Amino acid sequence: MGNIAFLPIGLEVALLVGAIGVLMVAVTMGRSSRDWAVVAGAAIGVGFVISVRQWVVVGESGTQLAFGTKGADGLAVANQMVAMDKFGALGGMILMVVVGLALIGSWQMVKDLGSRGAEFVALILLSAAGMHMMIVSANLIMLFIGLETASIALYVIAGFLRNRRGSDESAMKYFLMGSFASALFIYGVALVFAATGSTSLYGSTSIGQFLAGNAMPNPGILLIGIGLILVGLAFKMSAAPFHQWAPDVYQGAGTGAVAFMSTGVKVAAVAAMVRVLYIGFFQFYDDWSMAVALIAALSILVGTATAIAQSDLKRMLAYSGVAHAGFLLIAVLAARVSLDAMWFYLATYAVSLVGMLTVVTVVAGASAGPVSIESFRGLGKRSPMLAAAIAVFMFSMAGIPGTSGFVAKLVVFTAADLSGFRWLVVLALVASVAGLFFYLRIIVVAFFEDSDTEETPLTLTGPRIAIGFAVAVTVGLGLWPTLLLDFAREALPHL
Amino acid sequence: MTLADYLPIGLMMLIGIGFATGAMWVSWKIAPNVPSPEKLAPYECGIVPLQEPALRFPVKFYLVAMLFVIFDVELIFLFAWAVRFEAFGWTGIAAIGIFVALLVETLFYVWKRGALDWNVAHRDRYRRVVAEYEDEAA
Amino acid sequence: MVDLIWLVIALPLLGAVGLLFLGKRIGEPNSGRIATLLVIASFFIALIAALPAFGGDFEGENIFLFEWLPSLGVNFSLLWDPLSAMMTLVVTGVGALIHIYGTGYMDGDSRYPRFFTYLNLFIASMLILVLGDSFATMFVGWELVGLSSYLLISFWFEKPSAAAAGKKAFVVNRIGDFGFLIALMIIFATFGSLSYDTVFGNADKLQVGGATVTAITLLLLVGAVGKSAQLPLYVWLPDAMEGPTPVSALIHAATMVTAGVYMIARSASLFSIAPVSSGVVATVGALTALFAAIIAIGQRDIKRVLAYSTISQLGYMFMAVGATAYVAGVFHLLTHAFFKALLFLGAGAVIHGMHGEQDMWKMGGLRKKMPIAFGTMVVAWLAISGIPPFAGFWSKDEILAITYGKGGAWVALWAVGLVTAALTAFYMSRLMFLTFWGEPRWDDGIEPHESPRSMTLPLVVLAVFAAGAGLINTPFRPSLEHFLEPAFAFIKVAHAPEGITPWVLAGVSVLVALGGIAVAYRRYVTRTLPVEEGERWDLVENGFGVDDLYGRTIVLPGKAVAESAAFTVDAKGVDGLVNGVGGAVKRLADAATVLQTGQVRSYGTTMFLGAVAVIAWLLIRGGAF
Repeated sequence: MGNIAFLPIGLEVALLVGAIGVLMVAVTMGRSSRDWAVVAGAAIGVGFVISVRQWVVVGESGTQLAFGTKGADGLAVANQMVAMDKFGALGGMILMVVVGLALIGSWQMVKDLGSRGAEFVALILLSAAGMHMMIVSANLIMLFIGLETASIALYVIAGFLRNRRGSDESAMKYFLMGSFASALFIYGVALVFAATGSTSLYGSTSIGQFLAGNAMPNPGILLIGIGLILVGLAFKMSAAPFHQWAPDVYQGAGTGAVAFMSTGVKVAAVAAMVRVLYIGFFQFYDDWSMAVALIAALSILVGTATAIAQSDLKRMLAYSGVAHAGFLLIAVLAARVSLDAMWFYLATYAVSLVGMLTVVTVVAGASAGPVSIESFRGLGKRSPMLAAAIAVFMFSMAGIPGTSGFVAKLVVFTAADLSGFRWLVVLALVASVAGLFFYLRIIVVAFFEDSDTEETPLTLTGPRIAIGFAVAVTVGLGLWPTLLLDFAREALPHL
Repeated sequence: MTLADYLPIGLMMLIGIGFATGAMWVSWKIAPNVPSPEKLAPYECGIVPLQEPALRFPVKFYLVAMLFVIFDVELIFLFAWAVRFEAFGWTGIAAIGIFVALLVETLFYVWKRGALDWNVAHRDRYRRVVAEYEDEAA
Repeated sequence: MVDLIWLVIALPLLGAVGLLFLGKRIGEPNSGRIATLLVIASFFIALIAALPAFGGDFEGENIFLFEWLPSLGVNFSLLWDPLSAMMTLVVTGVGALIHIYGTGYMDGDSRYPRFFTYLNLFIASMLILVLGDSFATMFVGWELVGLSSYLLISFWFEKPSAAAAGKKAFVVNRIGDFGFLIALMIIFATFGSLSYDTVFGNADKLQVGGATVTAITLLLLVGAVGKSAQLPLYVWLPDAMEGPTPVSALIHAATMVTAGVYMIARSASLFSIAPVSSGVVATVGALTALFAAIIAIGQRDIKRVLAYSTISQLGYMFMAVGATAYVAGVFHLLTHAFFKALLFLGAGAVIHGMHGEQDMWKMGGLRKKMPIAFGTMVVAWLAISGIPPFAGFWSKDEILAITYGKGGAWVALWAVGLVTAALTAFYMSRLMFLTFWGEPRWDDGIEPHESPRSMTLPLVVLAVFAAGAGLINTPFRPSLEHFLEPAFAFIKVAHAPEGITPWVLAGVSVLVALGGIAVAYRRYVTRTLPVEEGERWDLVENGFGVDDLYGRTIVLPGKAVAESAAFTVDAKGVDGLVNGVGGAVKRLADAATVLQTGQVRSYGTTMFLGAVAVIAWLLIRGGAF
């Protein structure tokens, strides 16, 4: 104990205080959703500032570990729980932007929920805190706690629209499958502990130290552990074959909730996976990289092929999310050469997806369950700005030049090629072309098909800001990728 | 740590189990036991029921029960800290203080939301107030 | 100040973005004022930054902003040299005046803030085009001005004709852009970079008149022809007059359409070593000048006269840059910006005062009713007709003199230019006489009136420039030539012949212009108005049916191809492909859907099997078995 450092966990503390603040405000003075927005916004803002501060401090005095235990000599600190590095700081910034955008975009749903809206907001903040903890944790147990904090909040969020049966069903499925995945993950951690005697990623007692110092003639137990950890994280990012919950959950949950659910957890799981695999198990790179590549290939194939057959927009986005999980896993492999590719892909995909789902909340309602693609018919006439935003997001996800999605794919594929996964890159390229079909279909429906209604979707200021910001980021980073790439190049984890 | 170090725990478990079974055994032994067919019937008068009737349980019972469990678990963590509180020092006090504060906050929220109100009509009042407030704001 | 030159772009861009989101809230008239002030601020920043250049030799300077596409060797940096400085001053100066004018002209329009959003966007885009230091940046600006032009032409999109005109401009410009884009690819393939420094610095390594440079320059010309409305891609510009008049003045007369000329002048290093391409440029220019001038004679709509006049004058500029007289071309670009903007704004004032009437045959006798519009337009009329000492005389005669001085086949181009000059004087006089002289032929209920101060002020300012701007580059004192010299330092620029020849030529063209005016005076003022109807006039008014021709030969077959593509190829072929390739995919999808039962236990099983597979793979690879 001792050495209590606030800064490494500052973001988590800010979000926790914010969550409590929202609840307290809700039951005492401010019963208007506007008051909750102020508190939540402040927490997210402080969280972002703390992330920036972490970045600066790390830049000045290097990375550091915190919350360790004293060794037997009473001096050497080991087994630290949290790492403070630019990796976590950038992850925090991206998460804060995503959670902020998602909340702004889904605020209509918070209002619809009435008095339960405050709980929704608080849960999203807590979940975000858990996600960031996944990114910064320096210990597998800590990672598990972050994962559970994020997940349990998400289970509740998925089932928040209690009056709709689909919502209950999706929450239940998510919960059951998620528990299964968590169980596999923690079992993996236990096996790793059994094999190496450690759950720590850093320091003198870390897994890496053990592996470096001990030849493992028979690493079976350890490999099973790595595999299970991989499965647990792959589930969270909805990579195939651990993805089947995603379409049901996205479709059942309120659209406002999906924006955060689908993006934040991907950011956290991918970042955590990179840290665990590269820091913890780098000695076994040859083994796990192939497993990751196979999961990536399967995700891309299944996601792309199944997305084509969807008539529900949210299911389509869920399957496209499976394909993107595959691309993100390629980014995990590419992280060996360059981390900026992974960050760029994460940030731009998350922002585009949040923007897209915000458009969906505007068009189909924030509390809607299933959203047919048909509801976008003739949007080009009814609301040209919204339709244009959809076009931008779809272009970006499809990877059309001029959008950030193109650059993201470009840098990831280039880096993956350098890491020696050319076959995977070729597969991904072919799938990207096939993916054009379902992304462009949305645009075709929106622009070239006439709608029966003349109804113009009502855009409130909040969603408008969120969509505008997302469009600006998507186009801006598409034209000037170096703005983020240069920044992300420095976002390395503590070694 | 050798296995011998776990001896006190083992003893503790033995004593616990022994005490429970012992108490049951003693009460069974010393109680007078003079059975008769009437005594063994479920009711000494009336018809023997074919099955247990379904009981109506108010759902709020579960709510309170769940809340009880949550706060009951608090005690376990407090216990772990309390036996070693000198070793943890002020850091420990601060940590457990934050922990308790979080729970108090939860209790406060639950209380304010009316989850502890046995009277459901009363609990709805909060919801009504919010609804009116939202209407005014809109 | 030069380091802050990015502000020149940033201010109008800020205005565009700000007004896009806050425009409705700011409302009329403040949104217009903000937009105007931003452009004025841009102008003054540019002016201060350009001050050192007025003093003497000014080499130009690159201002690095940020890394953009490092893999293409392209950074986002600006080039501040005499040529871009002059263009920036024209764009922001004329742009500011037209913004002021727009605050009056668009008064009461339901989308008033949106208009200024687009206008600011256009200014920013045009400045990106002009100030970029690489072809990539220029292309970004090129596309952005195309976009803002499209938005502004179809600004009143409720009118089907305006919407169609916008679409036409967009489509026709795409043809040009296609050429430009291919040119950029060849440039990149040849030089390995798109930045001006590298390309122009290595241009001398290419074979003079070789295939590469000829291909590049001809493709660049395709782009320029589209944007600057030259034969055969000029058809979009007359229709673009459907946009609000300030837009016609700013975009379709003074600035955007001159982008092609600017591009050729900027690429002078390439064009000067491609004699064939230069000849093509000059020929295209001369033919366009003549052709458009003839059509202009037959127009009844005051704005369409000016539109064809613009095409014709752009032809002069092409002729100049084709004759490697880059300074003369840019000089005419400058003077034309002033007098043509003035003519458009004057015409706008007339239309505004006539309650939207655009048919010259329903005007007449407006001299007394609109003294300021009349007075200022007279200046512009004399300037475009080439009467000394107004601006147009100096620039046009320099072009004609240089063309003549090159001898050989160029003399034929000179003759075409001379005929065009006579026609120009004639159709402009026709416009003036029909509008301002004679008896009123107004429709009932129209009471012509002078326009508000915000509209007349820009007229007066522009009139001053239209009268005097020619004096910056006379044979006696070639200040502009001196100013632009560093921009064309390493290129052989054609000069006017020495001795008595230019004076004789100038005398001839002045006589020709006066002749044109005299003929028009007899025809439209001293005698009773002629009836200009019948087959021949219709033919001319319809621009010799080129639109119809394009419609029949290109658009209709194109539509047919598109329809067959949609209904035959797509339905059978592509859908067949989708059903074939897609059929396989669909079967796969169906197979995947079978797994997607919606039941948790099957999901769990899949996941479990997946986990087993992952572990098995790891164990086999890891050699645990």
